[in-house]
Amino acid sequence: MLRFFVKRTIAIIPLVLLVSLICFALMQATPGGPVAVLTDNPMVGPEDVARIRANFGFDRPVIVQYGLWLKRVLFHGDFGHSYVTGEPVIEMIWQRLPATLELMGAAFLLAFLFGLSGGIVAALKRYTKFDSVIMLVTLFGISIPVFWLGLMSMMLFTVKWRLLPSAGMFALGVPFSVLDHLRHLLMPALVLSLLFIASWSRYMRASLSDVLAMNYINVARAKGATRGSVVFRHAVRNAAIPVLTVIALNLPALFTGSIITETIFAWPGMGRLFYDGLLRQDYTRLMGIIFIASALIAVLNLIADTIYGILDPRIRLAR
Amino acid sequence: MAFSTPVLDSPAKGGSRRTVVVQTVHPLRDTLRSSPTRASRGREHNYFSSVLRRSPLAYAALIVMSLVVLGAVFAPLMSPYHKDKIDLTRQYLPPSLDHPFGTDDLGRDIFVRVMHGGRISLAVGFLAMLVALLIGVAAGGVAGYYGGWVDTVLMRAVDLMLAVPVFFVILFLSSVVSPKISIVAVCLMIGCTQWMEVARLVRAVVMTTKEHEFVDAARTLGLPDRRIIVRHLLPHTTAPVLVAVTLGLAQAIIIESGLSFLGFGVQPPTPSWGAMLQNAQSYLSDCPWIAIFPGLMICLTVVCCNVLADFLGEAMSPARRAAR
Repeated sequence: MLRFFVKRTIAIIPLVLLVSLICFALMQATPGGPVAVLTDNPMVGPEDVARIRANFGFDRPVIVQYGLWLKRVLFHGDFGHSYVTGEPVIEMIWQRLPATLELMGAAFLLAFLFGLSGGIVAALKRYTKFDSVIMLVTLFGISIPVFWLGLMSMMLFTVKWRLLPSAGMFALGVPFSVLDHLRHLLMPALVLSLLFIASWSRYMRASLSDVLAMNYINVARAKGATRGSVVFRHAVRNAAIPVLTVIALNLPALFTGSIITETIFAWPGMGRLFYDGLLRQDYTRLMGIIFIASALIAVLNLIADTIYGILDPRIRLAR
Repeated sequence: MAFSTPVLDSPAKGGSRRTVVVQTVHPLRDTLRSSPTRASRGREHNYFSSVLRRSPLAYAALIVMSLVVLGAVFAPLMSPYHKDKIDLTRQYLPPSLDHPFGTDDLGRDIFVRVMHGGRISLAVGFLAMLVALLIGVAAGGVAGYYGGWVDTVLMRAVDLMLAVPVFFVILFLSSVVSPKISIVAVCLMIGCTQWMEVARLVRAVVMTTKEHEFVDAARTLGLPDRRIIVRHLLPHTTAPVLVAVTLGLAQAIIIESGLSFLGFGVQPPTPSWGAMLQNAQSYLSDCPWIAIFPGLMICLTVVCCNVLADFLGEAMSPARRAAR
């Protein structure tokens, strides 16, 4: 198991490096380079631009710059300073990361619980009215773009029924309370999770239906195992393995979904930080976030792989 | 018809070997195709329409999708208003007979803009999928046919792309290119991040199909690899690829709308369904129709794509065909 884990860990390193290299190269390839914003400013003369370029080291070859950037990141955890605010990028990210992880975690939990249980129930009641309703709802669930779902739920729950707050993490001017925080979390988390509730329950339904048709399930039934034992001890455990692959593959999507969700609901997380960076062309910030995001996704994938290896010995032993 | 594809008789799918026998009748012709004869093509067509009739949901999706496409094609004829005509005396009008979807903050008719938006959104979706299809088929075909290190490299690239936070990277790219990002660039960016599924499917089918005798026969005849891949192997991938492309179309439309919604895709005043939603958030309380209708069109289109992909997958799966 340890060897498997170490091998997978090593495999993610080139991925993160490659993504950051590509982004770095693209950043340099922009017309005017990273200081393009300054050259448009009539108050900044060409000699100032040259000085700024030299200060930031932009006059050196891209690969050297990348090497220096990487060295600072790896050895000092230093992503440089924001072009716009001058703050260290790592601090900006550090402040925002918990909010994103909280939103993602809540959405993941909702999706996991409702998605898998919905899929199990649908598979057990296959071809009944209940099953068709779940299938129809999940069909729309996988088809609604997350930002429109956000707008519509805001329209209903905030504007029309005045049930839930539409923005931020806390009510302003009120002492902190957990309940208030959860009220703020509920709508963004639900909006972000709907896609995954829907798609995971469809996968779970398909996978469990296949497993339930297998001979060993009949054997278990013939032995006189109770319905609950057949479904949960024999069927669900095997049916969950392919679904877990899908879940692992969806983790990047959960992360990217959070950019849009955070933007709509003014949730002060990394997605929002990224979006602000895009609007202000703050390239050091964007680089830092993409680097952290790909590292985070790689780690999430690694965790998923490990769980997968624990669940299914064949995968662990095959490699 | 895209439906009557040779793969329906694909020996690789474990179905009949009848088609292989058909080929051996004309062993010396280059066009040793594994495609069905004209008569059997007719049968395929009937098969599809009969299955379609038995699946009301797919039937409905086909009709709705056709309506959306027709609406987009004939957009200028659908309404007396012009898509970009600003009329400040008609701002924020709720839906009425005059303006079925209401008017927006600049007094433009939302209905005609939604129809025009369909042109952009569908075109971006189709073009992006075309790009993804080209890359995916090329990568998958080469990887599956040659195997070895070519395969390893290409499949590693697929794994890599699957683990990248794609939406972040696309947003980053468009901010690098913006503000004058062209629609073609949007298509290219989306296409370049959606080809992996196609590549995997094509590779899998090519790998199993190349073991058949008709490929040996083609090789014996001295056909170049390119021709073997394109004419003899790729047709067998049509069914799974068609399903993947239909799903991918839905995905591309969602990505485009998300990009445009955030302001990094199709730029105003060009209407695309996502771009029309860009400012909708500010008008949620007073004129919700600005937010409702463009989004509804995205949902409808994507639902139809998903239903049709499901249907194609079912209808083309050899196991189900045999059962019917």
